[in-house]
Amino acid sequence: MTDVELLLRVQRGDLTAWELLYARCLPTVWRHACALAGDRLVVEEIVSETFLAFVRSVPAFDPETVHLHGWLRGVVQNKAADQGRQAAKRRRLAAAARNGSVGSEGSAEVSDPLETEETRQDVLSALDRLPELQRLVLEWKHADDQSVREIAARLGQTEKSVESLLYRARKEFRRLFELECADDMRTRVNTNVPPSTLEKSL
Amino acid sequence: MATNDPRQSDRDCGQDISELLRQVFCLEPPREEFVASLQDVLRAELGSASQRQGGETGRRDDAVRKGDALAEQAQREHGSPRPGASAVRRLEESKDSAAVAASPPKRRKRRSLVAAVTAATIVISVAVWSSRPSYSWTSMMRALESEPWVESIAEGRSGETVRNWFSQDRRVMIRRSDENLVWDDLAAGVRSRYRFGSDVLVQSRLVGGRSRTVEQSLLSLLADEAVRLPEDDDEQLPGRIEVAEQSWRDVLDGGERWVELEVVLSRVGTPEERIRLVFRLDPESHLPQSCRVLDTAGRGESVVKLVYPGDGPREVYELGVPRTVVVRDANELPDSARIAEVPAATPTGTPDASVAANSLSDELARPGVHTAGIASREPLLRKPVEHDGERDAEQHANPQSVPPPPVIPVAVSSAEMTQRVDELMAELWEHDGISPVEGCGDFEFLRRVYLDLTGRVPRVSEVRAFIEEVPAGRRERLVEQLLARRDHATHLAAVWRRFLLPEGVDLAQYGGTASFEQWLTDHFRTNTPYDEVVRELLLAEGRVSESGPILFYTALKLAPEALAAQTSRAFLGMRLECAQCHDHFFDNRWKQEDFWGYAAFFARISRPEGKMERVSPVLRVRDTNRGDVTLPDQDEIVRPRYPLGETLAEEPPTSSRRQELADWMTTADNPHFARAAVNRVWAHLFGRGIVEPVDDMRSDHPPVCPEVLDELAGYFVSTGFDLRDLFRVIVLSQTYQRSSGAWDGDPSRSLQFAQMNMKSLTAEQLYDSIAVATRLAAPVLEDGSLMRQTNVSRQAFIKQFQAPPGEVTDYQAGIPQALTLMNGGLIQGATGLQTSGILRSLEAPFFTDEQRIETLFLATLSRPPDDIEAQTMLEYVMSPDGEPEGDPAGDPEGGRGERLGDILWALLNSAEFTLNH
Repeated sequence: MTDVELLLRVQRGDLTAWELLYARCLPTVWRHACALAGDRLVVEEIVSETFLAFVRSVPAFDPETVHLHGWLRGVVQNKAADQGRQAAKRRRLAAAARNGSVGSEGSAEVSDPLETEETRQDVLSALDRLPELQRLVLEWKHADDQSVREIAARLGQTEKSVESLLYRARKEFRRLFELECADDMRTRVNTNVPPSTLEKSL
Repeated sequence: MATNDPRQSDRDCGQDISELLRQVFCLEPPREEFVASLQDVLRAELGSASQRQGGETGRRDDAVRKGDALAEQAQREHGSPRPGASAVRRLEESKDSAAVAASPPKRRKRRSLVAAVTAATIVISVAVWSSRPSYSWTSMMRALESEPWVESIAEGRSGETVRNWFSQDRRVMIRRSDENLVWDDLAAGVRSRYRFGSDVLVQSRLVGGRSRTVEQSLLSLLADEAVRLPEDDDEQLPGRIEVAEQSWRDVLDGGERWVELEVVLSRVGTPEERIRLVFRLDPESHLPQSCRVLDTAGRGESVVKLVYPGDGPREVYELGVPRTVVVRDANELPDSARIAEVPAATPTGTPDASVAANSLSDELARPGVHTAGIASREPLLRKPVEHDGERDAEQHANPQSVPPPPVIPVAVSSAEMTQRVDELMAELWEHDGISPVEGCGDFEFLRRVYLDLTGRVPRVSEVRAFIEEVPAGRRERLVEQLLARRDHATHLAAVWRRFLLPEGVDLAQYGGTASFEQWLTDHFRTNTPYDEVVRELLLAEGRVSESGPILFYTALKLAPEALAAQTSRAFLGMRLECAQCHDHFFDNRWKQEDFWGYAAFFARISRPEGKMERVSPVLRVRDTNRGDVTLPDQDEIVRPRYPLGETLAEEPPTSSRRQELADWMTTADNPHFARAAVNRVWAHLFGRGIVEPVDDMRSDHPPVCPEVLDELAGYFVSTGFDLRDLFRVIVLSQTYQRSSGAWDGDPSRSLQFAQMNMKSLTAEQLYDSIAVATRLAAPVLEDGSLMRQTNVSRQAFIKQFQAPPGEVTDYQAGIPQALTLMNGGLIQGATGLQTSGILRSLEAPFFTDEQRIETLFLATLSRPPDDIEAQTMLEYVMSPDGEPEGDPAGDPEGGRGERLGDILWALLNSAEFTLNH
């Protein structure tokens, strides 16, 4: 059963459908909240608010006009903004600088928090620019470790078409990510040179 | 990931992506306690919502039964417990196991429910009170910008339904009413307009499309009818708008909560013109569900509904445009504003001279009368080639396949052309709302023009001479001097050699590149018209070992396909080779027959039987009367065909195929040749062309300012392809003389040449600049020009730093290059006390330390140090106790000398030295 079908069942009061939908969406919402906020408590607040908002919006939610997962991501972003994204980012960098990678215990030391942050932003930007469906399958496959069969079930597509979608998604992500990295390089060069000084007459 | 197996490549790519996503996303799952308590809250909330909807006990029973099936599906899908499933089990197990165990079952359930609700209350309280959301135009725009597609549905002025689409990713803006369709391709800068029922789709240039902001596009979509005034040019944007006031409030409507955001927008420059918009926002996503437009100066109220589909229309045909429509260029249609009596362009219409152009829709409604595009804009569609009926039909259906119009000679003086360039660029900046940076100072100009025209930095004496000149006209005089120097000719020869000869080919066996560059140098020195240089190259004959222009052919192994690819890129700005093996993927002008038709012009040249590498050096390359090409794996011979032009039906009776090609290539009527040359010169001076990439000029890569390209090309033709004059015109323009520095990093400025791009020095420039700055013992000519082509150590240095042609703004800063700069032989020699010419000259006792430091700055950065730099360097030169160490007059190993060497080393390794700004 696809996510949209589950949502329609939830709208009809099916609590079990809700639990399945919740189980499917929680990893995505949690993941995106983590990407925006470093502090666990803040992440939990964002996730709570997002799901509360979701539940309250369920009766009026029209999956024909609004993309479910895109909507959830948008809400996560807004909640993160409300929570003070910049403060979370500072905490993340500070935690990384203290050799404690935020939200991921036991991970390797971050030797260059700024470079890691740049990579992170590049990945997020590349993901943002992907078509919605490509983004979903990429995240479900590579971040959630879902199988092609599970993804196909969620999308209501055949496994073959999901494999094709994954192939295109990887290719496009790679292209966009490399563009983002190339932009970073140009920015670094352009900002390295100090502004020209005023000329002086000899 | 170098592999020929696409599946292996995909697997490798997948592993990389998994790693990247793991780096970015936190993959540590949430705490089970959190998941459980949140789920309790959500269940309670859902339960309340269901009750509010009127209870559905019967349906729930049904749902429970179906839920069992779903639970089974959940188990199959997730296998090991996922947060949701484990939380369900955890709830049943209950948090307070001791108390619960002592209680009878009913009390156990009640206690766990109480605990859950308490936890939920805490969660809700924290969630609600820790952060209060706020709504604004900005937050709404941010939410809209994250949507792949935004669609609006509204009622137009005449009561018809109007739908708009906007996609930020695909950069398209679409407006469809019952009568008309307007499709703006913002990336390509093309507007397509169609009136339903007609058989013509009109295309024109979309002014400022590329620089239109996302906000402007969304504003058009949200309130198009409101923000566009009748007198706004249909080609233009709705004008710059700003938020004058805004406020929001919560609204409860039928049990549902909304946010009402009211925004007052005013027009920049005329703040009294105001538009009031009221948005109904989803409180969680901030996305507007509808927009009501109020107070629009008597135009009434309108309501726009908004939806967010995951995908949108991919082409006009999906929106009701028949595939049989004829695509026309707006410029082909008579200008309705200036016609007196102009016959209709179609056979069915009747002329109508008395036209007042209001809007395109009005115009299209009049039979036989057509509106014009922007009179001065380059047309996007090309006139079909008339002598090939099939091609006509194909080209009508495929607007990219028609060649651009001929270049119109512009007979003005050099100074007038310079002024014209500045006027056109100023118009572009004003239209796009770009504020150009200030002009560059004299030191900045001096260094830049030396590097661009002569390939090296100025010597200290040259810097001083320039600054000591009378300011009035000194830049013009300097440019004249530099254009006349041999350094200019040798520098241009190196630049042209880089894009003419292929990389990675061992040319030593053919005599090396020295004589090829010498041949180019001689022509640039004498300012041979560019068309003659190209003709001579195309018609080169001679022995393989002779090098010179024939090296162009031997380097490409005399292969017709290689010659076709290289000449089309270099002289026409076209990448034909993408159609060598199949029809071009991205540029549908080029079929495989087109590529091989062009290659056929190079088929009748004498060539060896075996490999070029083993051929006798005395083999003579010349035209023959034998040789043809076929499509790969086919037998049918392909006749020579000009790109986007006619086919050579018969062999020319008195000339060769190459002769015919050379005549066609370099004629003033060839629309590609002059434009491609102008674009290359512009790219050399600005770091990027008017069209990028410079060798791929097609409609997908529109020119930043087509008028500048066209008029400069026309000027170039009218001067008889005078390359030196072309350089003069551009270098003396205010546009070229903009500073490269700015305090805000707005990339659009440099993209539109309102700020000079910073270019990395080429390998040749780097070597020559180091040699000049440090007075290396390199031979020079009487005018101070360098002897470049016979310098062996120069060649070795260049090999390490070579950047790919056409990528001069990409800094080649890998580890080998960095080490070479830091520790390589050249730098060691340049900064060593015994070997550095400049350091030895600074030992003279009449210099003060301040003067020594200034000299080092002038030599390397072509400017004096500022106060802070001077002070810092001086402190470094002096010893810690304030006295200089060592005896400068008698002890070359004294401390001062070493420290000056350190300063010189630091300056040579600085970004400012290695960049041309």
